[in-house]
Amino acid sequence: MHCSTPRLVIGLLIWASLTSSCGRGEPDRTVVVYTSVDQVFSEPVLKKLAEQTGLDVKMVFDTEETKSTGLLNRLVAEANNPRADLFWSGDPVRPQTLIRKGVAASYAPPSASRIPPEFRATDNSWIGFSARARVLLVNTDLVPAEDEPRRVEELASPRFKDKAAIANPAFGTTTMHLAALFSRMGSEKAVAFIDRLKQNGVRIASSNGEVKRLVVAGEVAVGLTDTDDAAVAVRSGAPVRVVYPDADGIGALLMPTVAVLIKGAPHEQNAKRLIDQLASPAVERMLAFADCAQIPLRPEVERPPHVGSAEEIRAMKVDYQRLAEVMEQIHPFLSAWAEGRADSKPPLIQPSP
Amino acid sequence: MRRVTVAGWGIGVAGLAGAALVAIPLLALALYPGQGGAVAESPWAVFADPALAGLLLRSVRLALLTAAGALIIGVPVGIRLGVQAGLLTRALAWIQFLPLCLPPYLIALGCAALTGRNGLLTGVIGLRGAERLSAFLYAESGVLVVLVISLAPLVTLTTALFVRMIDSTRVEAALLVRTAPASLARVVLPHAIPGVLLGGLLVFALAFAEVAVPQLLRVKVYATTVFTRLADLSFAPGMALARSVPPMLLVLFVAMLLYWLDAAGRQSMGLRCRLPKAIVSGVPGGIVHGALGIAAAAAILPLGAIAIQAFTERGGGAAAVWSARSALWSSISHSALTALFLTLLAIPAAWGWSRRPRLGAVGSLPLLLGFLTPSAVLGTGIVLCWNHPATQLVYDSAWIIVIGLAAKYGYLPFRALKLGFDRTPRSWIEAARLHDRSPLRRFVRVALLGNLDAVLGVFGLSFMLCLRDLDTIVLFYPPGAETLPVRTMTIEANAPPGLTATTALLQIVLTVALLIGMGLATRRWRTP
Repeated sequence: MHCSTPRLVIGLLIWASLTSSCGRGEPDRTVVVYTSVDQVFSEPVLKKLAEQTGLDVKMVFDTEETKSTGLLNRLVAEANNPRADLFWSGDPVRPQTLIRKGVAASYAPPSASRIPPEFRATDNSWIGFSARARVLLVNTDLVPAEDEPRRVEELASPRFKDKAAIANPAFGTTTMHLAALFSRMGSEKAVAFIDRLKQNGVRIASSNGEVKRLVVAGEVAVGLTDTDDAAVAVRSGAPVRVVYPDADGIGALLMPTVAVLIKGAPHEQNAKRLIDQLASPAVERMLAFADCAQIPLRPEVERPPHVGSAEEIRAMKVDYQRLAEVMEQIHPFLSAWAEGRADSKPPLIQPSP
Repeated sequence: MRRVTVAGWGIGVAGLAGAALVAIPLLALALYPGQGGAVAESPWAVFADPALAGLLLRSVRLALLTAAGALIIGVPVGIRLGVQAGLLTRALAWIQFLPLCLPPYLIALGCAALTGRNGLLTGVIGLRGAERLSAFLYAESGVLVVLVISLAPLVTLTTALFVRMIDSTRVEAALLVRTAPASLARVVLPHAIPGVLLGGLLVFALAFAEVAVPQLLRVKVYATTVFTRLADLSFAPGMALARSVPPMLLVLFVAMLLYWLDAAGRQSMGLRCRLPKAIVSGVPGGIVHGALGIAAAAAILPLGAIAIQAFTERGGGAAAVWSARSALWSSISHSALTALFLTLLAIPAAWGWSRRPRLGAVGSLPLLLGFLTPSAVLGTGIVLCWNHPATQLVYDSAWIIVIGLAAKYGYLPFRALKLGFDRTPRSWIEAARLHDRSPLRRFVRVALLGNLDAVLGVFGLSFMLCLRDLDTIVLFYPPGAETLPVRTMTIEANAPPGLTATTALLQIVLTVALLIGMGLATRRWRTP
């Protein structure tokens, strides 16, 4: 009797650990989702879909700090014997690595037939929905409507000297945005632009959220950020306005979230069911009304007034596969640029038509 | 044929565990085929790249400064705690210990809640002051402060442990002919040096390998570049391993030095005895209480900020606790299971190491390598090694967490229990031999039951290490089995501050409860 309590504890622990493994032999309703969409937004959506479909959705989330690396690392490392069934990416560029490495399978969800072709792969290796956009957030107390910037390049103009902010270009969506500019303008013009930005005293914030805070506080007049951060500022009642830049030029960069079916997924049929649901108009609506205020790619999807429509916004024409390659090429240069080092030369990138 | 002793079996267990848990995953990385393989980059290529070499030097400097800060705070406090401590000193020491048991990431989150425009200190030091503090935090200086707060108690712990192991008769003899400060300087301090160095080395290794804090505070360190070699846009595990080699060699060299010092120090260890009270006057009280006060305040401020955020900010409350229930259970069950596994392994292995130090040191080398290898590298090795159809049952279950955490932290409980077993005098074993012929029974009665407090302490240490882990577990935790530190980190982006703070507070409460429980348990089973 003396030893019964420790034995009971040990038994319970072993039982508990084993029960947390995937149930084998039961009717398999499991689907494993790896997602780099912020947990606070993706978890409610996936839980809702689990309720609706009866699937047992097991989730692995990424962190803000390792969004560019964390889950991709796992997916590539597990490629020979995948544990994930699908990857829901917060941006359209990172999945290109998976596609290049042969980790992605093709699947065209019937529910996504009305997604515009520029937001889906021709070989159905990925499907985009619910996008964020890169926008200019303007403090209306400091910038009258007639002086509002309309193009990203205006951040380098003398009227915004020491009054503009961007996030560190070595991280996140700012890297992606600059890669898009390098891709569209070519490296010569793009480097000249970011050098002008530096000479103009642009503030390098730690994140897009920090850019929003600087604009809301009036410490800078204008900042380049994402729509989800801008939406938080608008909803808080701060004196700010959102400008979708370059409407008369190259357009604003749209970054849809992307679903990718993993090649050799252990629960392929369940994964396909979940992708059908994820890429549905109902999820686009849910994400438009959520705090992240994502832009539905289907024009008919209902959205709140502060969320733009993909039809109204002139979207920059980008090839996300090429964007991934350009990002890889310019990353060392951007890191050095942000740190004020001159030891990294920009790669030669020709402008795309 | 010579019979294999319990000590021999123990060293064999340590060697096998090290090979299975660490050496094979690292080999899997080294043999990774293709462009990302180790052959693609020599370990010395780091020094050919000025930017990378500069980053390596900067990171070594940061780790050295962290170790120096930890030594400045930890050594006087550790000596005082080891010699004797009053109620106030002990209370402050417990507060100071708390950050060691929490993920450093949590301390960084607490510091972030204090500074900046919306920080809790804004009302006290004004907007400009709070922003200056924020600029200080989001830089190398901030990483240094967070890591010193988190890791200084490690030096306190190892120093106090070694001071407590000094044979008190030597100190009594010294006090007969010298003053208390002189006895302290000539007898106590030299014997505490292996403990001080052990603490400093552990702090250096942990600070050098830290990824989460520099990433949160946007500081580029060498460990991050190792991490990014594993993914960015070109998965290169072999190259990541190659880049881990130079710092691993550096720490390994210091560790060898430590083994030598340990062997020298061991000669002085006798029965655990309380040092004479008179020696206390040799420890300058002002320095000790000053260091402790600063350390305790630095520990309590960020944790207090988290608690305030949890109760006042949007997203906190019962709903936040409910949403974290699964992570809470994962944290407790995985940590308990791993701690049990590590303690059961450590008992024979540490006994072997204690009885045959040279052989034991060699047997424990793979586990030391596991501890020194950056988490991202070791974790990827574990994925490559265990993610096969034949081992799917393990990889899909919580056992993969046990394996991963044991590979990363196995060395520490082994080493700590070895220190506990070192207290057992040879005369006890010889006396037991006269009464009992069974080596196993002698081992259980003398080593195990005679050091029950050390065994419990090692279980607690292993539990804490697993509970606070973030960098290792995040790489392969089974889907749906996230732990509290992982959940805190993944919801931090864009979640209401109250939700993140409540999840972090749960971790703090759990840790405090565990510390109290461990304190009571070791008190109950203290070795006479």
